[in-house]
Amino acid sequence: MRDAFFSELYNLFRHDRRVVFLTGDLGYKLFDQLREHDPARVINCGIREAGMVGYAAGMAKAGLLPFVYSITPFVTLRCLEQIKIDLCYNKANVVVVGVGGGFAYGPNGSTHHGVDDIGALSCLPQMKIWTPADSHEVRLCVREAASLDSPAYLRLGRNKEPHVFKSLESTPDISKPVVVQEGTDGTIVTCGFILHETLKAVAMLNQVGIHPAVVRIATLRPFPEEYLRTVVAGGGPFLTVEEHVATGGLGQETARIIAEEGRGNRFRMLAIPMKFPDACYDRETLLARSGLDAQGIATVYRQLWSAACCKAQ
Amino acid sequence: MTMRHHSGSEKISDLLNGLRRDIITMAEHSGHVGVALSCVDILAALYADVMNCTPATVESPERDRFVLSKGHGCMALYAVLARMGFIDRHVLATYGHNGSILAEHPIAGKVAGVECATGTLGHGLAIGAGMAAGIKLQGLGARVFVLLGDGECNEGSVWEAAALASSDRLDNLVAIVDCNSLQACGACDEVSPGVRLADCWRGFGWEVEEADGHDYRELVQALGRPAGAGKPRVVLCRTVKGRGVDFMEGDLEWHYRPVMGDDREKALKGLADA
Repeated sequence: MRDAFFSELYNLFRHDRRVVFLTGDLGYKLFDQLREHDPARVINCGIREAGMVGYAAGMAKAGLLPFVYSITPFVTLRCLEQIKIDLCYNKANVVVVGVGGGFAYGPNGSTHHGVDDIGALSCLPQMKIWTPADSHEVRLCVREAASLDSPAYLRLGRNKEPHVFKSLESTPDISKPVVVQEGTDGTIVTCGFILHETLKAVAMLNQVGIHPAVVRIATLRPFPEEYLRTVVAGGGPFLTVEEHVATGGLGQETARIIAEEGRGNRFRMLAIPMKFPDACYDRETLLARSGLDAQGIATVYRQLWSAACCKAQ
Repeated sequence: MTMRHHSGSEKISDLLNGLRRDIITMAEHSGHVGVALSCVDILAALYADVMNCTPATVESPERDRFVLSKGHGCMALYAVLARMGFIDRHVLATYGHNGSILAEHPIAGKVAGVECATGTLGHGLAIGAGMAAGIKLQGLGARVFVLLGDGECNEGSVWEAAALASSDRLDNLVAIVDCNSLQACGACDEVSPGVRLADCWRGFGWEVEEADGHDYRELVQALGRPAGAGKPRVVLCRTVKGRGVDFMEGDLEWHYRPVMGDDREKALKGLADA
């Protein structure tokens, strides 16, 4: 996802002179191509994330389109107030790019995990949040940035995420939820690159005769409220899957809608437990320990489906 | 001395006195009057004689920009914007009232001449520096002025911005520090003993100048002086909190107290007699 981001940013950078790239001293060698093309529009702000976000806000106010880049927690929680005041309150169209959402930086530890970014940023009016599922969708987000009319946050993984979609044409409109896999046995809703793990879980479920539909959300804020209300109206069971803590995330929003609609949908929420990991683990292990690997997702969905079937009888 | 942009007929002393009366009148229901009185001469000098920004050019990409990083001093800014014709003077009477565009910290996009919302300390210099960088990138000649408080310089983000401006050689950026020596709960040198602001700015690669923040001529010269090539410039202005109202001068109480009843009458009478 990271390489796709820089590749697509280069395409935009060459053609749109408003685009400025600011980094908090991270991304070694990754922005060389940008710098070779126009060094004046590439600024290493140093390890000064708060200053960088304010700086970008001023540039946006002067008519430019800045992208600010760092590892997820540093470019979100570290400078949250700058994002709130300088970008959101001041309506400065800046793209905040966090590399390493969720557990992508697994063995680096909790300092580098981005498991609370969405919740924190979801409190801020004006903020658009993109959670692309693969490299193709990352490219679509960067393209959409060219016509941005609000600040936005782009949540990247690292660089190991597999393709989920065949091409950019698979999900051309990232502003709307997409049914990635049709199904008749309830719905799994997910956002971001955990979609890949979710699809593996669905393959396991298919083998035992359970066929949930899978919906992915790439633009998480503004939340696709009306779409979800329509799906909830069918009354079927719902599972949400997110590589994020529950607070402020996809699951809580979905639960709210289910409660408000009052159709009695069976519901489960899979999110990262609210505790710091007790030791060093890679992403795969952290997902498994959180019940967010394919096996964990499939197990919870089977329970949910069984309960829904019992209720129906 | 007469002003460059204003009517030209009003004496500077009358302008500054009138601004102080506007501030006292606004401060009937809110605090921060001492702050506004310490920085109002600086703002008057900027808008009347230094900055290339008038009501007619307030949307122009070539205009000079001003960022009030110490947003709680906004009564001074509103008073100056009204006197200079950016906003209707009658709007001052709505300051702090429900539905007013004049909040107790400036709101973005509502008031001509307010470039961005501020109020959280430590944000304005980075935003102003980014504006200056954006202006230079687009080949424009405008300057950016940012007013900070000396207490505000406690914020680490001020120094992140100072380093960025210096690294990017923003010689179209002028920081102004309202050094009234008092912050919310005490004297600045009691809160941060041993911190020497001029040395700090110099250490971050800025050109440093000091000025009497209540001497209009000195302010105009210091604020308007062209920068040396490749360096941002800071003007440390020696000021007095509550300046112009004898019983408020240097008294921390007036960081907070609204100016009501007898205090209001006494302050307005003192200014009328001055």
